[in-house]
Amino acid sequence: MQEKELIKNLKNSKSRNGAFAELLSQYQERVYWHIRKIVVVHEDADDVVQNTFIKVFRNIDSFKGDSKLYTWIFRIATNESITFLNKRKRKRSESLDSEEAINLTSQIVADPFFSDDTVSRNLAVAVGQLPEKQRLVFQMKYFDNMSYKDISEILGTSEGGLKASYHHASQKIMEHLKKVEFF
Amino acid sequence: MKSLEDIKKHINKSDKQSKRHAGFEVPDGYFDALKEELLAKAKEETPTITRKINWFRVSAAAASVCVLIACLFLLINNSGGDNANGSLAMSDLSIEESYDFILAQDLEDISTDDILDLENIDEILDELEEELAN
Repeated sequence: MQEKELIKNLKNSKSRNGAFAELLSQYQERVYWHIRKIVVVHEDADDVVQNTFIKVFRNIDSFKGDSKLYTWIFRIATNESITFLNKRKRKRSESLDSEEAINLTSQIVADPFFSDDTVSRNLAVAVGQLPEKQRLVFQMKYFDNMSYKDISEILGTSEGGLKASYHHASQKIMEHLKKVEFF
Repeated sequence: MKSLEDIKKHINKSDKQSKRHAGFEVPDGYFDALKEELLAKAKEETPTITRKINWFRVSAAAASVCVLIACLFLLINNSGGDNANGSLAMSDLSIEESYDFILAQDLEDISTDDILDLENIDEILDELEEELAN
């Protein structure tokens, strides 16, 4: 189904549920993987992806069509993921006085739903150590092959800023991989 | 491995073989279950949305409010009789009131029209004459 037709059907109360099923078929996996790379743990990603799509369903009438439907959905998904991470950080800093507790790297190492492939694991650990903004840009560009224009729409940052972030992120990852004698 | 591009090629190949993404995995059948769960949640949401866009109810409520405001406006404007704007004409004053009014004012502030507007001008002048004579 074409995007325009899909949006039209999503906005019509009679065809909304059918169009939503179509929307899920087209986007749920991509959105899930996007969220999963940000929040890392599968159970958390499951909660966030559900909140994301329910928000999409509730707010489709407010989608004006100024951007692509997928960048609008990814913007909601990104915001939901960041909100989730911030909540988790607050909870943990109240109960545990350790930065290690919020370290995404340790979560990747302990994740039962992560590949035993050493290359993937080393890269994920390196990405997990990046600052949040650089991590988001790197993941969207490197793993999802998104254009800077689309990433710019999702994150609300200039394309120049994104290119700089991606460059810094790549350098840090290379340095990390050299340190662990991966290269 | 010599570069990030080499790593990417390796991960993409590895992911394709095992239905993974960047090394992340999901339980078997997860995406089918997710779709079902989200569709069920969407169905629960639908009645709320129908209520939200019940334009007939919204229009009826808006019309009722307009009628109420119009009634209140008419009621307020008609309750004051001829003097709806709250001011009094000189011709509406009784003799005593006109007399008191003239005495209370500086004569320069009273125009000829105001005097002529008084209904009982002759009686008032007579009373003034008597007052001055005393």
